[in-house]
Amino acid sequence: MRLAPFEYLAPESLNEALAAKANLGAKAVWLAGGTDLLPRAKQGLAQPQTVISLKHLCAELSAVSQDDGKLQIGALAVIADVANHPTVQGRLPGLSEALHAIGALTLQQRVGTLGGNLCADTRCLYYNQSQEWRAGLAPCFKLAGEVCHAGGEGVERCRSVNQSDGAVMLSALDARVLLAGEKGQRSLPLEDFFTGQGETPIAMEADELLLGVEVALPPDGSGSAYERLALRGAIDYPLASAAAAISLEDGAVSTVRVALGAVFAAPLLLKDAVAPLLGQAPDEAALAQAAQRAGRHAGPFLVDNVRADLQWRKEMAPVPMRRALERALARARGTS
Amino acid sequence: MSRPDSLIGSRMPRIDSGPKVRGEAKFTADIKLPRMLQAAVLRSPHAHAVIKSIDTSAAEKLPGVKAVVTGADTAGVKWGVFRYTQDQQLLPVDRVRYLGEEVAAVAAVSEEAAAEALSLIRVDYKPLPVITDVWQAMAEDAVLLHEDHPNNINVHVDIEVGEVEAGFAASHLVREDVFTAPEESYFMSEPYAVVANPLPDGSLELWMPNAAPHQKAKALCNALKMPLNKVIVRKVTIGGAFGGRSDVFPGEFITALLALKARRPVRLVYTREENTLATRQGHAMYTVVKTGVDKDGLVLARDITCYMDGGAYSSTGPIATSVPFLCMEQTYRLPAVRYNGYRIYTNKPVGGMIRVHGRAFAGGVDLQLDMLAEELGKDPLEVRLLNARRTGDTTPTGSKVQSCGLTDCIKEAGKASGWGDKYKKLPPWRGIGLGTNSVQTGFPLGIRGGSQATIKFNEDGGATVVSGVVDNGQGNDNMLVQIAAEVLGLDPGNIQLISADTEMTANDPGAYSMIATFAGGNAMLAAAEDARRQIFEVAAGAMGANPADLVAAGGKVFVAGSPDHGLPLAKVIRMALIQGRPVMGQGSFTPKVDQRREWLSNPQGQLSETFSFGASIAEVAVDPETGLVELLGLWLAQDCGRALNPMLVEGQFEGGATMGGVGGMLREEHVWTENGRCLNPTFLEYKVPLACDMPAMETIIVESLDPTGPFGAKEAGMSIAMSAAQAISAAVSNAIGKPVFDYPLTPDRVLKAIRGEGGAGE
Repeated sequence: MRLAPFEYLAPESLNEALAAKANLGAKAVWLAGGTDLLPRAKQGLAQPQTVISLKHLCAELSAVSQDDGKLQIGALAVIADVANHPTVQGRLPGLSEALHAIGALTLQQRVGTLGGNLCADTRCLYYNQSQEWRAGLAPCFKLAGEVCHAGGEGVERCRSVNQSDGAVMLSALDARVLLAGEKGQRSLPLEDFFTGQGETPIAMEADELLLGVEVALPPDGSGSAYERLALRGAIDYPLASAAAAISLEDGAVSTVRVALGAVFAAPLLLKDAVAPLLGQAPDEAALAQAAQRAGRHAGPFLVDNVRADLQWRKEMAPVPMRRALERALARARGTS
Repeated sequence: MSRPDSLIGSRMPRIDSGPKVRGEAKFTADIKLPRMLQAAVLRSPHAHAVIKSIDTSAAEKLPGVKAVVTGADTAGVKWGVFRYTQDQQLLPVDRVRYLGEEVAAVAAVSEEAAAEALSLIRVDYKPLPVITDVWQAMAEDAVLLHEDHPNNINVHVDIEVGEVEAGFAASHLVREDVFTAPEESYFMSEPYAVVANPLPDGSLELWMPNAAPHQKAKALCNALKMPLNKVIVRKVTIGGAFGGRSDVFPGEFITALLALKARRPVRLVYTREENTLATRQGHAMYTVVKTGVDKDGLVLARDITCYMDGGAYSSTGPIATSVPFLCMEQTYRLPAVRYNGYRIYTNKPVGGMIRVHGRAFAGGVDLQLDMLAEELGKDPLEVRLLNARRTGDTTPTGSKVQSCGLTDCIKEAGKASGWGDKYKKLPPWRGIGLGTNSVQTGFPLGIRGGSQATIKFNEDGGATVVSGVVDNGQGNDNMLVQIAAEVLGLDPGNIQLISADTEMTANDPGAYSMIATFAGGNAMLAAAEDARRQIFEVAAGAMGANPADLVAAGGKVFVAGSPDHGLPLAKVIRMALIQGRPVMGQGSFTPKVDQRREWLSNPQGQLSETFSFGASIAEVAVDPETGLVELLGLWLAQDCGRALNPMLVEGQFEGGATMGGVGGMLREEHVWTENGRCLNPTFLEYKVPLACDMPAMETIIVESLDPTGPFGAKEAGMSIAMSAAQAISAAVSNAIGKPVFDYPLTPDRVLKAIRGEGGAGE
């Protein structure tokens, strides 16, 4: 399958890149590792007039640094470099796990970037298909149409799902993103970076570029973990995934954040499901109950648009959640 | 015959590995010819529709477009493997029967122009009701895909041997179970591609990945109404077949039509989606297996009814409907058996031959035997041994088995896997299972049945060997050179191979139905022996020796035991030239099969001259919460007759277990919408196993030394592809303590099986 022709720019500086994007707007797309963009472009899902390569900005936007209790990760940092960073492995083990789950080793080592993983488009079996395949169907919501083929009648919005491993974990870690645009820079919590709308899942303006991610390093007595279910050991997007981040004070849960992936157009943050754990020293049963609540919240979002049986996905939602909670708690307690 | 330094049985590096590793091998899509055009095919967006009209006028006017073809250019010419199954118009004239079927095609100066031209073709369709499963298809009021086939039954294979009902009546235990599986695909690494080049002498050269160049040429010459010698299929590197290249497709016909119309070379390269949907795929199956055993577990009678979703056209229908049964009647002794195989037309892509002939067939027969063994308190391995086919047996449909190492395969795999220490002794949710299978080495193919080879010599003593056998990745080129080199005592590097070119090679049945080594290898062996006989006659005269005492080895001819006093082969060849009796080896081989045997009308008689047998054992761990299966080990044993090259045989075993076993039994399936649209035609969502998903595999080569195979060789890998799938279903069943009826064993199906659901067909 061939790429459609496009203009190609490779600006030498951030300012030059931002100026070009401001000028071209939505007709241009950023190219980092290309692992999400290129398959979409080949399928005609992305039809950029101009592709702006970020390859000359790697030096500027790939650093992983620590400052004032926060970890800053450049958007162009190669996934393996982040996953293997000593601070990430030591203080954010869940993030290391999530990043190691992305794509395959070859993609993690060379081309895939953290920023690219966060900006990865939402997915659906009826959407991520070739132009010829889709030509036989009416355009769906994500293609500016008026139907959801996966959800059928009664579904009034795009139900494509976020299957980014990094996004789910970073959401649980309450990370922030730093964006740069024509009018300057702004910082957003990931919760606001993802719109929750399958049609336009990322809240970036047409002139903006993702510069990096900032994660507060959790205090001692914290733990995080990431779990996913997939049919194969690599390449596959998760069929269900869950991230958990827990901090303890005097043995009791002081903060807990969890998110589910492959359910909703954004990582599905489930604050109510885990709220009962706060102030508790939860046992296995309490974690299992929290996971069940998370699963119940997730159920209504699911439609049959991921390559796994829908009923199985509904049943499975609590499983990675419980496993992630258990491991995050064990890490927080220093027992793993 | 073989010497201590024999090439036979040596781990000889394949002659084709270097160019492939270096990226120098040229596949069809790599071919570039002067003035070559690019083709593109317009495909039906409907699974079932009447074509009311096709308007290509705008496409024809587009600059850069050099030819447009539709069914109107073809007089509705049809393809079918048998005269009585010719039901597929190579370009449909009035009706499309599956989503993705060819409707029109263009050849243009660029891919972009060809794509744009397609968008200008206007087709007026009248949609018809879409049938997506065998039950809808057989319903009384169902629309008929082909008017002459009531209830949409394309093929009915009806076999009954022995007293089946009496066998059940005499049985201590009888079980009847239902096993199901959806369609599967090949996912060859090379998507389908065709290049056609019309030559000034009126002939047409073609390149395409194929499993039988001579059979492709014959089908095309009929369809194109050209003499056979003018349709020339050339050799090209091929990236995999697995059964999915052995048929004839509209792709080559369309490319040929475009090339003839434009009078220019034309190249057509399929997308991955086209390769999946518009070549062939494995049949979905619903199989009812009923087996009766005595109190020891000896099978007394079996009755199998299988409904196969054949898709829109016949393809190899009668063969595809028979082979799953034939494999199992070869594997086990069966005093009485009944088989009713129904291949049903539906509005889905066309079902063809695939490496695993029915996971819901073979897996069912084997698993049911385990269930019966369990009820009898017997070890399944012992029950397999009790029922296993043995040398000298005759199968129910009348094939004599001249060599069979099945019991050795079962025992060796059992020993290597530690079966005795594991069966019923593993921790919870761990399991071990055994599968056994057998395949043919060719079928009765009428005039296609034989292979021929010739060998000529160069003055430096090197040889050029000529064979019609094609290599689609399995190592046939190496097999041919290895056999010739062994017999002629030549270094393989001094042998040039010409093969798989219909202009330069004699007829060959093709590299499918596991016949290449048995027929093509035997033909090459005969040619090499013929050449060697001539060489010895010339050399004997010069040496004053008896030809019967001579040996060819190391590029020399010498009296056995005196390698230092020989004549260089180069010298013998020159002497032969001077004496006016140049050495030219010729050989042919036609398997001894019963040519009266016919798939539907007479399924009795010798099916294949010999059969291979295999046994695989799998050990698994099941996550009872998610249903995900982890493979812990595979032990793969096959009687391949003789391993000509153990390195190649091991590769076939491992590839077979990966594709048939791990892919076929754990993950691979197509999913469809109710409109007949395949939701996973690409590598991302069709779950072919990855290297990281494979467990350690132990390969066990069992050599029964077939009496008529070349150096005793039969076939390598097919019975592993099948038995590995059976072993995995048995192992999962053993791990969860419940039978698994519905395949592949994706986690949702495993969870259902743990709950005791499934089986009766959903």
